[in-house]
Amino acid sequence: MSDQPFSCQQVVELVTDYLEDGLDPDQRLAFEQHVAVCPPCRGYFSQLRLIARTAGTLSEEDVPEPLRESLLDAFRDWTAGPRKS
Amino acid sequence: MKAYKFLARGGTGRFSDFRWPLPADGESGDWVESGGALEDCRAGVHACRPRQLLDWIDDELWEIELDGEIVEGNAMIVAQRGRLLARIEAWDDRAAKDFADACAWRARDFAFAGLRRLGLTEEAERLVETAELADMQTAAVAAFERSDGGAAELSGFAADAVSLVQGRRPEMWGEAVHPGFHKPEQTPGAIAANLAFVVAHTAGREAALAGTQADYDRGVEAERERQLAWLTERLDLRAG
Amino acid sequence: MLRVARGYGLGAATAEDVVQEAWLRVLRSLDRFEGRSSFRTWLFVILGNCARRRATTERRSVSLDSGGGTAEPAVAESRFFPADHPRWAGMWTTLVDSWDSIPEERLLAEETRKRFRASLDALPARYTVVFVLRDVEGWPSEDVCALLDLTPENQRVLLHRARVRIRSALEEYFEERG
Repeated sequence: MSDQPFSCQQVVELVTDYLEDGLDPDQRLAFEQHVAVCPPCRGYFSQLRLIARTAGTLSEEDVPEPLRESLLDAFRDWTAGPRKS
Repeated sequence: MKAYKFLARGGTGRFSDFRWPLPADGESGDWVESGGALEDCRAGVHACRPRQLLDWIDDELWEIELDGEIVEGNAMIVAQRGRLLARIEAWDDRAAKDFADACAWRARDFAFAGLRRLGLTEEAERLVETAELADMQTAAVAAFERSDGGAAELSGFAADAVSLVQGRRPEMWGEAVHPGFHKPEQTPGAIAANLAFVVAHTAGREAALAGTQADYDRGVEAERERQLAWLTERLDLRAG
Repeated sequence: MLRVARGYGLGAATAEDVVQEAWLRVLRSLDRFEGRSSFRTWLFVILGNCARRRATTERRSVSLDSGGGTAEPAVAESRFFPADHPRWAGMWTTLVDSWDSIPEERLLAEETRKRFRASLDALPARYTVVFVLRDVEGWPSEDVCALLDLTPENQRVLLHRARVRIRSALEEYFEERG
């Protein structure tokens, strides 16, 4: 597949750069031309885009529980009295 | 000007994920305006001349009207605005499958040429005798195992082409599929796009092996012309 | 919060100081909280700033991956044909789903969110912060870069790594069920 500038292995590293408009025009075209003809890369591209999109539906409750708990604990400790340095 | 445009299922841009306003009740779809100047083909409505379509094959083919500033690149046309005129109904799942199959048979032709050149006439004949893609794959695998160099490469591509048509990966030749294996869906359009590219590349490799590396591009282009002719006839596309 | 501070490469005692300092700043600036994002993420941003400043002062290396480096690849090498393959060097050996056919109810279902949460939990803090601000909270990239003192390239790398790890975790989950 030597007439494609990007291999699949390279394409998977570039998906976010593409979505963030971080590729130059030649790279952008080469990326699109690859994804257009490569079913697995189409799938991968689609998956990453979906993650970026549905992440917005996560809520406060989806923050890892231990993190939330340690936040609340830290706040309780702090309000109990200033710590000595 | 009028041009063509491939879209993913649901009239959606493959890359933009934009849902195009579709024609309805005999009316064209609404005009879609792209904001700003058409720099570097990033902004703008993208469309294709027929020859350019081959690089962007997808689930749905549409006729599109373009207006405003229009920039013609090698890979595509970029315009300030566009509206969908009509769906090319002839490009359906059946057409996409037929096209992909036709590409796979072309891969057989290149393997045949490569085997003949190497004097492996028996393997070449067996390949040419087959009438079903699954049988062609079996013959191509046998030829692959008995040849080397360019003939093996082309035989390998022929066997791979059948795997790809079946929605499998290269070198998954005739392997039994595990029960319960979840095979990801590939649309017929996706498979067609893949086969068109792979077989054009195979044509280039055959030309390079028969001639010089400089013949690669010529081989690719010649195969693309055949693919375009296939699509033009099947879909009744305009010239140019 | 201690885990986040530790994520910046600070020792335990220093991390506690950083958390305390962050809380002080939080309480002092509560009136400036604009409500543009959740309190939680705003807190992480302040914590991140404190930790980074402290790490710089203490001359400890804060490894905000600037791209390249020795980070693991987005996808395991074994899923691609090797570089010396005659026909398919660097191409996928496996199929990859698009997840288009997964019904929305399943995508947003509790079990999926649980896996999403679990994969967030496993991320290094510097990936989590960028991912939460960009993809969960929807902050524009310029704002994230300004807040976290990142170049656009750095930010993209961190965002990519977060998304890639989450993808891996979800792929495993979706393929279990078939």
